[in-house]
Amino acid sequence: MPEESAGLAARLAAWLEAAWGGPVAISDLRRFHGGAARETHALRATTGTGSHRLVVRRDPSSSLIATSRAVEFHALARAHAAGLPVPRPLLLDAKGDWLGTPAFIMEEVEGGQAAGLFEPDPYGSAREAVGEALFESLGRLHALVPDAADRAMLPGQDAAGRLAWWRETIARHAAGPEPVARAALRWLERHIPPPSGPPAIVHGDFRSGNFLVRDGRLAALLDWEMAHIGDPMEDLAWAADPLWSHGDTSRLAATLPPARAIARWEAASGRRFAHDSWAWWRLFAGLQGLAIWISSADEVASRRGHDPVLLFAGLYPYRFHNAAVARMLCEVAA
Amino acid sequence: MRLSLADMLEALALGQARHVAPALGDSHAGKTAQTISALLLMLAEEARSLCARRHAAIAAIEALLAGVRTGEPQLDLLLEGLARPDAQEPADARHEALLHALERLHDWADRHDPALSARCRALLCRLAAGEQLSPPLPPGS
Repeated sequence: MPEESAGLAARLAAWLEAAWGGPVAISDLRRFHGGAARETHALRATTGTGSHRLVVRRDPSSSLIATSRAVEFHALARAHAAGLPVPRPLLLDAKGDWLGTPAFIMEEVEGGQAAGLFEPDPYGSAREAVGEALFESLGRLHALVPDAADRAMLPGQDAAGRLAWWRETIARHAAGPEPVARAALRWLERHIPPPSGPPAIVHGDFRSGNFLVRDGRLAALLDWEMAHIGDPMEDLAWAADPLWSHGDTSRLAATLPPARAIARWEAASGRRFAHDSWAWWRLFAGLQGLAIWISSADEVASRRGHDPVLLFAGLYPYRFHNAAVARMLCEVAA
Repeated sequence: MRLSLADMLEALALGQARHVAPALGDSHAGKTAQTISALLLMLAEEARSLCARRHAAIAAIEALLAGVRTGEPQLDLLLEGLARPDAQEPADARHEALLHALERLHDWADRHDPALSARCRALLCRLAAGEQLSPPLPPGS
């Protein structure tokens, strides 16, 4: 085991021993690829009574976006308690006392596969069954009424608040002119839509690649780090973004045609799809992508981040969304 | 023969994909090697077209800015300055200065001149489309 992994294994063992009250042996520690926002490792924890396959998510020294492990853990726990298909959260270390940076541990969903960005038709003949389960799950999430604990833990951001968040992100990270992003910001600010309904728990990163499929069935919704209380139209628009379409923009997240996905979501959420604000949220989704990729490029340019995934994010998706946002802007402003 | 930058980057991508990534398997290191290979391919594509795209973008922005005056002294000063290009100025610096001016002019046009605003949007659309990269395919495929 490399020195770095051995150090992490020892820290994980100490954390689990303190939580479980007995000796724990860590084995099969391996890092997942692609999570530039967080470091994610799978592991096996063996105690005197059994063996557990776990996943730990922790803050890296540099990442795409600043998010909170406590927010992610809370959202995951809330979704799990509501019976949504998510990994069971186990332990939270919000201050980084055990691993050096904030982290949490959850059960591993074994055998699940996430779609790769360039993978064509990732679900094959299961695409419709996966889509039905996916948009039903999203509807069930949006049917939850945010309670006091949700309001205490999750950021509350309506459409204007979300826009302000990404405006500030772009201002902080853009090293040069960003004429497309700034033009989109101006249009979005002039056309902020009314809420589509009561505030909901929004996943915040609901797209292909952030859910696991096993044997043709939806196995788990992942990556809750951008969860907040806001407008559920945001999740639908992000799922519909062409970057996550796997080359087929006639389906949402490479699963269902939009009308069927929305019908499934409406039935499960008890909400009505807001046609009038769809174009706004689609453009917002593109701008959000741009803001994330701009911050990624800044991590690379400032030498804070050296994971090639950050460079990739600042190159391919950045240019994809720059073109997509420019195109959408021409359509909505015409 | 002299190898072009694009040729060299593509050869590195091929080496990374054929000789490094397979040896590392499905591990985090192996997937990172694949990512680096894909990045090298994209950078090869970039190297092939960057110079032509830069010059085309500069010409297109210059054409849009030519003769435009807004009545806002600072912005007009910026536009007048850009109308007298320094032949020694590197293309990247000229491109960035023009993009900056386009950004400011578009902001002004959004508030005061809908027709100019539409021209700015159309130009941004064309420039951004031209900058898009192809999805990286495994080298040799």
